[in-house]
Amino acid sequence: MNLYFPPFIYSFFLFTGTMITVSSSSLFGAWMGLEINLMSFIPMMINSENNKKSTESAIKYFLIQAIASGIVIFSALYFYFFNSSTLSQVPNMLITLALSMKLGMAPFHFWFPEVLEGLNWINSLILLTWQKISPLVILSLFFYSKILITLALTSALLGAISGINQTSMRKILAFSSISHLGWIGGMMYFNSSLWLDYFMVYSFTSFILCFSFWMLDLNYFSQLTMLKNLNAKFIIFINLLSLGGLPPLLGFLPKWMAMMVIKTSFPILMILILSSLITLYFYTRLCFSTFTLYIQSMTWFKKENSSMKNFFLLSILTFFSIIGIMPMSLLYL
Amino acid sequence: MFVLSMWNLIFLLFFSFSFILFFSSMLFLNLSYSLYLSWNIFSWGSTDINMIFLLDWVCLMFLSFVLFISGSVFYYSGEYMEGEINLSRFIFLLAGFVGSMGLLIFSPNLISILLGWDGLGLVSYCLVIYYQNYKSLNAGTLTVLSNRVGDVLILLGIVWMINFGDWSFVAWLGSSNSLILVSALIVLASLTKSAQIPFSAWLPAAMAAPTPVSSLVHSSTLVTAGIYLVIRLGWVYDFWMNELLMILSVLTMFMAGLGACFEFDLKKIIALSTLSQLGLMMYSLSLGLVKVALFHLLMHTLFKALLFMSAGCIIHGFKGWQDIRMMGNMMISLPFISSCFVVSNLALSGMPFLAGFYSKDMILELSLMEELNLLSLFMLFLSTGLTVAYTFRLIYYMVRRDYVMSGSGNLSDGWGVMVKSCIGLVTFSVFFGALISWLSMDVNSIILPKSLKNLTLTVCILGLILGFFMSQSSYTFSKMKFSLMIWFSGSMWFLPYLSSQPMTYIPLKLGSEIMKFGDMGWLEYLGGQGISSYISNMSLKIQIMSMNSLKVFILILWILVSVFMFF
Repeated sequence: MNLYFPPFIYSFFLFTGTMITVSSSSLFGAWMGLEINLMSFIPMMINSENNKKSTESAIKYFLIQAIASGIVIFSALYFYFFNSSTLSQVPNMLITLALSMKLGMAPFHFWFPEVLEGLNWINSLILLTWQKISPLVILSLFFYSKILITLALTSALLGAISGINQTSMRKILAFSSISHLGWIGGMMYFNSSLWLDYFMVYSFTSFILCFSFWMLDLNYFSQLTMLKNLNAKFIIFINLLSLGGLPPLLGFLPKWMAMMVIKTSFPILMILILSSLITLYFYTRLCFSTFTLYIQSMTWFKKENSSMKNFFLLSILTFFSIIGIMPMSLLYL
Repeated sequence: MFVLSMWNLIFLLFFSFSFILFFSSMLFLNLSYSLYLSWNIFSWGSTDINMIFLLDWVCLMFLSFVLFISGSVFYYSGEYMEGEINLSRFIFLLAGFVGSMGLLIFSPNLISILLGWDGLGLVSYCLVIYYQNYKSLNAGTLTVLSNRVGDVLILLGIVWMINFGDWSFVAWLGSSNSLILVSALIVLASLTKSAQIPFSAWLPAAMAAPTPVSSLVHSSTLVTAGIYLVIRLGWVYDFWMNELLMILSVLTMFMAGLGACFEFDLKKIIALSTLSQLGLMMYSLSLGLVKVALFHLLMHTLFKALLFMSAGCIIHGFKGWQDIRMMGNMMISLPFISSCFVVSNLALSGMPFLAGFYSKDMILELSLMEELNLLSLFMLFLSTGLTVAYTFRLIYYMVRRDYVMSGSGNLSDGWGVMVKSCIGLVTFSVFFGALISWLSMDVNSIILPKSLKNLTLTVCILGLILGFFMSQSSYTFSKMKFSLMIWFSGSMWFLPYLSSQPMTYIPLKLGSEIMKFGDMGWLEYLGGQGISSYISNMSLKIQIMSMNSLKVFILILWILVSVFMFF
């Protein structure tokens, strides 16, 4: 008997798990939400395109997340046993480590690009954005600040540096996500709830990028140069630069807020800004080569099957990421 | 035909304005009346940006002379520039020249002076490079960069005047240190514009311009702008740079006179004579003889414009040939033009009762009455003698000597436009010296012993004899073997070499070195490319780390967790 459940059922559980985590009042409930989330995401990974790569990704993801969840429930028990008698920081430390493993912060980030590499764009988007919500919420409640800031700075730098030589769009997004986690961790270190806004804008930008890659069927950087549609190029690169945080674009807004939050500590701010400069460097390098150096065009290349309707949607979204900083910054003034 | 009438129209306009201005200047002088108009353009903080017009007899008369000469030059250009392709550009440039000069003359406000000053510099550059070749370009670049130094000095003065909240330096009488500094800056700027000694290389180089332009530039506008500014300033302040100014101006005179004696290019000789006269004006300013300097300035505009215009006629007749060694015997071939030439040359050298005599003689005699150092006195009279010498050498070469140009020439006065345009200037060169001196100078104050009174005359006669002997080819050509001394004296004491090559050589070499070691070397290694490749390599190593098995990544977590468990 072949039991087949279509993916949208799992997406319901995916949603529910995160909601349980976010709204639970105990660490045990949060852990339960995490597990539901994990268990519903794995079939989604495998089901949507049943091939070797996605299965490999699912296995890797499962192993990492299960071990991290184990440490989370272990530290919850630790809390439970020792809460009244000691003021130990050990469970906080362990939770911080475990959750950063779940999030893929450096130096536990190695699994993240490899898992992402095997997914299709919808699942990539879920992994990049939705799957981060519950660990981040728990992390913002139980973190050990010294470990958190170390991990944050490491992931900002490593994410930026590792992204340089990449040619796969998924890996670029993965390393960019790691780098953004560094910023989020940096804001969290200063007990600011503005990390949520950072995460929202990041999710928005990631959504546009994944959506456009999905629409235009792009997986590797070399395919970008072959794009015949100049508008598509513009859409992709405006959003990439927005993801990198180039000032007039939307992606700069959360970085701006983060700078305002972190301005009390100059070295942290410097490391974060320099790492995002490196990110911007390779985005601009991609841009530059795509727009100027060469445009490949092959007569036998397959036709692009992008419908105008989706293109319209993408254009609207890109418009938001171009001028989005103005109304948003007014909102935060 | 339309273009010719365009020239005539401008000529008539300028001429009538010139007369109106001259008579109003006489009126203002007679009533000792002046008008100070100030229009507040905007006020910013406590500083006022004003447009100021100061109308008194000095500026009215100077502008009337400028307009008269530029009108004559416009009229003259109608024939000289005949068949020119870019005529409208030429007309606009000349008009821009006169306009900038008017701004400079009327408005004793540093900002508007800078406007006029920059306008003069820019237009002079455009005019020097009017004939588009490399020589003109080099000359124009030298001109505009030398003038640029003056612009920068005036800009510094403007920056300093912000302390006073107002840029009309005439309104700030007094002797505070900052005003002295501002006046020093303006005097230094004037040194560049009137080509005094450290900056004098551009003036002969600017002879690459068309001759009518030279006539306008070197008589009444560009080079006299500096002198006029110092006159305006000298009306108000005492200088503290008197000694420096005196030495520089006397050296300029001497250098220019000496250079003119060795020069064979017609226009360059005249340019050098301009330089020497400018030196004389600067000299009298350094003695505080402001009014006499103005007098000489006005006279100089007249005879120098005439000199250039008649030289232009000659060059035009010789179809662009400028070397005086190939000219001669013009009193037969060009009787009217050569007489204009001789009149203006005599006026230049200070022949009694011509225009130059009154002013020059007055400067010399008044300076004999001042407390002078012997060196500058000696140089002053030496260069006066040299002026006479090169003038008579020029007259001899051009007018008296046998015609030595090979082949046939087509020289004639005719009744062309160029000849007609000289008439007014000849008249004025003859009469105006006496006229202006009677009108505006008081000449009763010169009291000298007989020996000193005769000194000028003696020097001039000695110069005449020197000039005569200098122009005899049997005395000169046989002796004119190359020597360092002749090279030194004939090339303006190496100033053109000094002010062009070393000025560019060292910065260019330094720039290329810095470029090589900095931008293309260490900065590239430590900056952009170096960091990029370093990060790339680092990324490669991290990539190798991520090629491990998944177990290794879990191991990292386990190690850290077990370390922190027992913290």
